[in-house]
Amino acid sequence: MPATIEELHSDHDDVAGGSDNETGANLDKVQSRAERKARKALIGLGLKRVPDITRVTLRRPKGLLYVIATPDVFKSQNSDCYIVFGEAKMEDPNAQAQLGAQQLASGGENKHHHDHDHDHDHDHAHGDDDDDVPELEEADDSGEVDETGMDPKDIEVVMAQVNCSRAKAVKVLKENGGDVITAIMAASE
Amino acid sequence: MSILPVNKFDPNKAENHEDIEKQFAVVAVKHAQIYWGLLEKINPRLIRLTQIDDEIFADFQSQFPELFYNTETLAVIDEDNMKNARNKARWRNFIQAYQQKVQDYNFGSLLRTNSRGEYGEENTIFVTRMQFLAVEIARNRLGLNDEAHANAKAEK
Repeated sequence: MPATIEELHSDHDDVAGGSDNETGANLDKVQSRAERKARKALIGLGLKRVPDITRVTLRRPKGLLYVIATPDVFKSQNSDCYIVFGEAKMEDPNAQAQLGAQQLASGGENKHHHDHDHDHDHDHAHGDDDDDVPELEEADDSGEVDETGMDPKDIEVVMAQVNCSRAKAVKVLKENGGDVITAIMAASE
Repeated sequence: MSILPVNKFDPNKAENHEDIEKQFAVVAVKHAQIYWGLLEKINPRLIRLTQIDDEIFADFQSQFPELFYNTETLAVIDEDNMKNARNKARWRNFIQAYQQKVQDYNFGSLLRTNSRGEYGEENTIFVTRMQFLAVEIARNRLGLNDEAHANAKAEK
């Protein structure tokens, strides 16, 4: 298999700077051989690298955030499936507000500041004047959603069929023009 | 997949790639499965499929009154009759009106010919999404799916 052969010497080639387009950009961040191997395999599956993603946020209950700074994101070409590589860091919303303020202040130059020491430095610099939280996160599936114009019964049917949150049911119903069956299809994918 | 020489390629006869055709069968089957799931769990008379079920039902009634004289013609669909030249044109007219209102209005969907039975090789025909909606909304409202609902429930 050509992939294996390539892999044997790719270690040094890529780090030395002769990186190929697909794997190149963040190889300095690659931790282990296993990870490198996994990436190669995924690219072999026809996943496309999504360039220029600076941040992936996963939200858990209670506003707890997992943040992956400068991740490598790959997308499956024929479905909405994303694979993200990178080191996840826990972040609480408070810290995030400060990070947001820092980002604004430093003109979005956050690329190289992904360790916590740097964050704290900036915390001191900006004190407590960042009470208002900048909206940084993408809209997600939790929380309140506008249900105007929707039949609560439809929402309940979708929820019962796919066992999902009310917010998600509302979302898929909206995306599918209120068609209950296609909404269920979309939600259970 | 072989590549056709450009001059031999006739766009009027172009067909979808086999996999694309399969893909859409997959979607149609999924759609049918989910609908059957609804029939099984919800009283058919209460099922709503779209935001505009009332409108579709009324429109269907006014454009195809003959199907409502004897509801047996709705319970058991005569495919040949539904797809003969004259009715095809009437259906096309009916379907086209929903182009903007119903998402995927012309997608292929599976319809049970006999509303009392479940989806099966002998009991399924291929129609557009609007035909599926019109017939199933009417069946649900007229109680023609009650039997299927009861059977599905009993089987569980």
